[in-house]
Amino acid sequence: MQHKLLWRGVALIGGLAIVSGILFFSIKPSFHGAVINPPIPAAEINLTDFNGSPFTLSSLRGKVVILYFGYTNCPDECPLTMAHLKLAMDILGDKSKFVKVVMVTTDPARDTAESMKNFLGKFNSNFIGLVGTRDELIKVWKDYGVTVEDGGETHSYFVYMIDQAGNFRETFLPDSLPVDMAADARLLLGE
Amino acid sequence: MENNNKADVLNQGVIIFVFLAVLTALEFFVAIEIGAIVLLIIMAIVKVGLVIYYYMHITRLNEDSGDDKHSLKYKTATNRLGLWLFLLSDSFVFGGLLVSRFYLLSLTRPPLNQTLGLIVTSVLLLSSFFMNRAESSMEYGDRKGFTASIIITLILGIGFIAGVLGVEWPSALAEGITPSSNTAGAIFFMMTGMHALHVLTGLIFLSVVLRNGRRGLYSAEKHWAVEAAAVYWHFVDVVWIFFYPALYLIGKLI
Repeated sequence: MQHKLLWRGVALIGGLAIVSGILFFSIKPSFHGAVINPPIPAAEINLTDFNGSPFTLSSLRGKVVILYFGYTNCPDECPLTMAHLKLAMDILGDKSKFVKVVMVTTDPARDTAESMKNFLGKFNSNFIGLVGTRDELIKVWKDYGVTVEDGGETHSYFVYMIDQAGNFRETFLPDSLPVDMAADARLLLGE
Repeated sequence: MENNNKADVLNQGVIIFVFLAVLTALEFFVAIEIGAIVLLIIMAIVKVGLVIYYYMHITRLNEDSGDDKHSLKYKTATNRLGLWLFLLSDSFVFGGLLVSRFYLLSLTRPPLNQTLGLIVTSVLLLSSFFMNRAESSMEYGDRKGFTASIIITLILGIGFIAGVLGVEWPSALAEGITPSSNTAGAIFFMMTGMHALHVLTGLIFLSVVLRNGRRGLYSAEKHWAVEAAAVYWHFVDVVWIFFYPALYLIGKLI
């Protein structure tokens, strides 16, 4: 009576242990966002940063770039996303110096270099804000599939992750967990 | 499964406890290293199954109670059914809280110390082992064994309360997690508070049973209060077998 119980128990728990072991040795870390497979080169961006200097995306080669499109007068989505990205940078810790968060304005009429700097400075002084003429911005929005309406207040809100080689790797929805975005940035850095 | 001698019964209690302990350790490993939620759920269900079948003796509900409505056997069977129905209703409270936890926090978890969670869980599981031992001892008229095991159960139960209310709660409050700070705080305090309340009433129940036991009120033939206290105590453990992974193991931080 005892032996039947003992053996059945050992078999059941042994089975669970074996499954756990197999999973432990076989799971590979995976991406959490919408992956672009195969990766495509991210379109070049030619704009002006919030210090007035010309900016090109290719100047950030060697770093993971996290791109976001929004406007500084945004009451909800943009500050929320920036807060999540700030948390992601905090989670990355030391590794965050290899990751650059870049925000491109969707509201050239109201956003200036100064307003971008003020807005982003509230989250992380390493975040970069980009401004430009309406035509320059329209080209970037088009290249990244960003819809902009209502004077910039309605806009696509994806977060784009670009790897160190300048390839477009995945997109995230703004409510993605900071831990997940940080984990993916770490994955890309390890490649 | 009919066991005919005391040593067998006590040994079975030990075997079940070892299974529970191994599963708890495996659970911890899976949570930390793999994060496979389905596996954690399966293990919780297996643990609960072991406790409900072997410690709570749920199959006794199926026993024939005889036709004599005035017999002890009949009355005990009725009492037993009543207790289980009460526990069923109590399950709705805990079930609701469990569902709420996943509705509110989804697959994220509150920032709790997982090692502390493992320690209090182990204390509670060990207390169930001794509670079962106490009940089994009384079934064979071993009053000394019964008394010793009940006292140990009580001490471990107090240890659990000390761990949750004395360590976990203050450390959460110190970090700014309060019942009203955010949803994680609210659900954490509600779940652990409701559960701790049941542990406390369980401790009162155990104290009464201990006192009456020492007065010689129970025998091998007649000890419904002991069985009731055991079933109630194991129920509280079953709730924790679900609450523990829900609060400490499943989900990502933040």
